[in-house]
Amino acid sequence: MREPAIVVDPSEAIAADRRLVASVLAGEPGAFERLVRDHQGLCWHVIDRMVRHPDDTRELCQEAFLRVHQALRQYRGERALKSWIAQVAYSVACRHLEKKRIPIAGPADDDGPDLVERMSDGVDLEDAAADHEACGLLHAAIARLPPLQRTLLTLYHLDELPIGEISQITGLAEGTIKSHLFRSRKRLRALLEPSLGVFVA
Amino acid sequence: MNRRSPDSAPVTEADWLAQEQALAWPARRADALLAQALRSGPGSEPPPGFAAAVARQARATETRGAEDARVEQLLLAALMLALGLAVAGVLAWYGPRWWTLLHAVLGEGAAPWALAGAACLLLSWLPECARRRPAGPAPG
Repeated sequence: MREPAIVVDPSEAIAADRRLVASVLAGEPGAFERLVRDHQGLCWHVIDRMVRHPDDTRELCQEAFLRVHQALRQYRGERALKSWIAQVAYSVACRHLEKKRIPIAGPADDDGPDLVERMSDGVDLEDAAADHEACGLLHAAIARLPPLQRTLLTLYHLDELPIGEISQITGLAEGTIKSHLFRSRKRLRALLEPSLGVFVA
Repeated sequence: MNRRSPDSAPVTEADWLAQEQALAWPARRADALLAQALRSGPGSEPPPGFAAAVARQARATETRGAEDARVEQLLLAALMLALGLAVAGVLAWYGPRWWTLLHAVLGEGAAPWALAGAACLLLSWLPECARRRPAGPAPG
């Protein structure tokens, strides 16, 4: 359904990843900095969406890249380097949340407490009819989702990763990811339903 | 009674595709706004100079690691030397007594052969020990 923004030949992309990794392993000056620059956005998104704390995000993102640097010899070039790095970032963020005893996902059949109930506190949905306000309302609602659900929404919609790649990063089955995305989006949409009618093009 | 809420019902492929289609080509204002909000999240970005700072830190960690490894190798060599000297000392001190005892137990001709057999076992065991060195850390 969703179309990728840029079409890149996967084998070409993986060959480029292998070349970059080889440069880093050969100790070529600036190669690791290039690797970080190429993948810092995705790594940052994953960790930021999971932990939602600017200082922790910076520290954990650094930690993730240092782990990548230490373990780069283990990258076999069988899949995209960005997935491999995002997987390291996801696992660093999960460990951080576990240490702080913050639940990563809501219950299996739920995406956290009722969003409409929580968002109703102090927010008048009638007043949120303007697009800008409605988007702000939705962003606030996404921020209140459990870490896993908001990370899945970010990876799928903002970073435009295919479900298969998200599955590799998170270790979740594709059906589970679709379920989480479906339910989260249904709940988010329910926030707008009372105040918005049929779209007139 | 175990009642399931409508939200706990399994999501079918048809449900998923219908929702995907509604977000890709919105017919309703709510779908259009949701698609827009999902694509434009307020997520933060890494600060300027982040990549350079991480690369510097990785270099420093690598240098520190190499220094630690050198110190570790030196210590290991010193310990092996001390162990070798200790073994030589013990052999010099107790060797003649053990040799006499070995002759008495195994007989005059068998002692050198028993010693040669023990040396063979030691030689075949040492390379195996060297092969079983621990693997590096896994990421994550």
